[in-house]
Amino acid sequence: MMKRSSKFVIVVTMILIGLFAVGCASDDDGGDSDAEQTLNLFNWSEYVDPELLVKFEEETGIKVVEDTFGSNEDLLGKLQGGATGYDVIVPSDYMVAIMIEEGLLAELDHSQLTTLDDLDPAWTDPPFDPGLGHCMPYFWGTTGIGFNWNDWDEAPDSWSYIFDPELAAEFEGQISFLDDMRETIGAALIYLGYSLNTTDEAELNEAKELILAVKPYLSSFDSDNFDDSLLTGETKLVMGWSGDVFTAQVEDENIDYIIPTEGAAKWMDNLCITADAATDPDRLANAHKFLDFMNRPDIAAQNTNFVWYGSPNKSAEEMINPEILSYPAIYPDEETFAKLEWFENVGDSTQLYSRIWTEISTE
Amino acid sequence: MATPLTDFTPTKTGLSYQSQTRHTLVTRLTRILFSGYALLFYLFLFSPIVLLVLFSFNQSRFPTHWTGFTFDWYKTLFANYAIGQALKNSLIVTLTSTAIATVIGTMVAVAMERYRFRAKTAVDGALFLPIIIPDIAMAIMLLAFFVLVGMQLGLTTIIIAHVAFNISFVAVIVRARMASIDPNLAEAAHDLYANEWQEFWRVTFPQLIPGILAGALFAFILSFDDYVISFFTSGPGSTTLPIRIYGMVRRGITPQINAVSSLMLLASFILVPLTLWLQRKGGRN
Repeated sequence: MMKRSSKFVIVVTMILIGLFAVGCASDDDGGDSDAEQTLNLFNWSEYVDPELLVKFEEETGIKVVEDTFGSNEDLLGKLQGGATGYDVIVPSDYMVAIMIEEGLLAELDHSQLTTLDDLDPAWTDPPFDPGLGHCMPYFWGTTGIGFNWNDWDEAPDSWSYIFDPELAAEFEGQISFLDDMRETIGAALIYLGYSLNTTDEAELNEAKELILAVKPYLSSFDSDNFDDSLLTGETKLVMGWSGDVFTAQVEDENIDYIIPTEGAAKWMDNLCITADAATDPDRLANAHKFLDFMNRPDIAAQNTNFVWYGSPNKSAEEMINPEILSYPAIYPDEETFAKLEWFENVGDSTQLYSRIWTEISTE
Repeated sequence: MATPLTDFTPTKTGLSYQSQTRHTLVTRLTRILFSGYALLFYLFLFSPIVLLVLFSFNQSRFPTHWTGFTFDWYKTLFANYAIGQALKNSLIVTLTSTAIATVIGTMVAVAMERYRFRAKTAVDGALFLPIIIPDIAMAIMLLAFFVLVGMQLGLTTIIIAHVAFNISFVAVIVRARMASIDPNLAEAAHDLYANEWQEFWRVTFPQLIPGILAGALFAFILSFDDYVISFFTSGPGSTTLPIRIYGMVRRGITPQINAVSSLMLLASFILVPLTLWLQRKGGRN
């Protein structure tokens, strides 16, 4: 008679599971009814102060639903595949250029944005989005050198510490470069005094020889865990993105980041409105409200104080934590700032870069 | 067996004694080697899991060195609205798709084993497709399909996608069980005037239970940790736990991720024995 009871158990369990799931699902449907306006934000993980999303809802009555992605390429793949529903997305600079070309972004209506004047003029005409036609700058940072003060009396403020074979030999097996074609070749180009967007084959070959000359002293090409290995002492000098090194710094105050005096690459993540949102006037208007809200000086300042990345908002600076503002690794002095360069689309030369990168990786 | 064997084996020569000791020596050596190997194997398999759980209690933000014991990561985890939401989405998707796929998969398995119909070979082949096709191809296909028919991406589309690949796994597992059932029992039931319906529920289904449970468990696990297909078929507000975790990992691994993973482990530690127990209970009948 066990037969019947276990059959009963299974059937009942199935029904309960079904009911539970349907119940949960209909909960959600209820929440998304037309009476309540929602804005769908597709963002990097931990890249906005959650309090601000609540505040936005309080002020405008628009509920923000946040979903996350892991890389620019994931985001592109998803939108290219035809995914709809997302209103505001956060692509990085080079991806903005690609998305504009693919027609995935809506054009901004500047008349609906009241806070554009609060932006630092340095950020209002980036090469990937001239005149901010499609996106609102969100956070910016640089590619520089991460190090540990235990090994230094003075900060290693030059690319020569990792590109000059004699200096690099001092930290043999304890240096890592980014596993990223444009970043690593770009840093070598800057050290050599060239533009990191060069398309000159001779300059690129020189950069290749330089990287190959120091390659024996590298522990690895690493884009994902360089902050961890710096923390454990596995590496002493790393080429890395500012934000990642700062997360390691929270753990060990001896860890620091510096923008080399020769200059460096700068990057920008941007708030953009999808072309899909532009198909509905309400969604488009709400998205503009959101962009304008996030760029309001007090909001941008609070966000920077939470995420610890540089804000492109000039007016926000008086409300930004002085610790962040006076920290040259996030807010460099004017001289260094002037030497920061964008990565631009190099067009057909991408193949040349790829070939050089393959030669570097395989030799 | 040992005693009668010695009765018939001549033991007077030293040679046979020697070969016997050599035999036991070899056996013992093999046993040591094999158990040692097994031990190493399990160590290799489980030490990362032990480390993962251990570091979820680590004070340091980085999973690389131990600085002290804390429950903080679990506290921040429970306070993290986004993760709670993702977990809820994951449970809805997993439970619904498992329930639906188990029912359909079982029906398919029974039909395939018991009845003859046209294009059976074709259906048989098609059934294996979702198992063979790479996840990414399936993900893009489904996304293109949903966009084509104009479905808004969300929990519903993820559930449909998961049902689509889970049916095959359930069907294959249940079918294996179905094949091992003595068809005479069903025939006997019919001889005793049971109709198809009665025969299925009273004779076949109880014997299928272990297979169905195994299939359901498999579907549950596949669905719960699927990333690729879920990512491409998800829409606004339907981020599942694996998608959320992947996004977090890309921004640096924190012990919060260890904490989520540890809780998921705990869930499987409860789920697997439960299923095994139910299976055994079902199998006994």
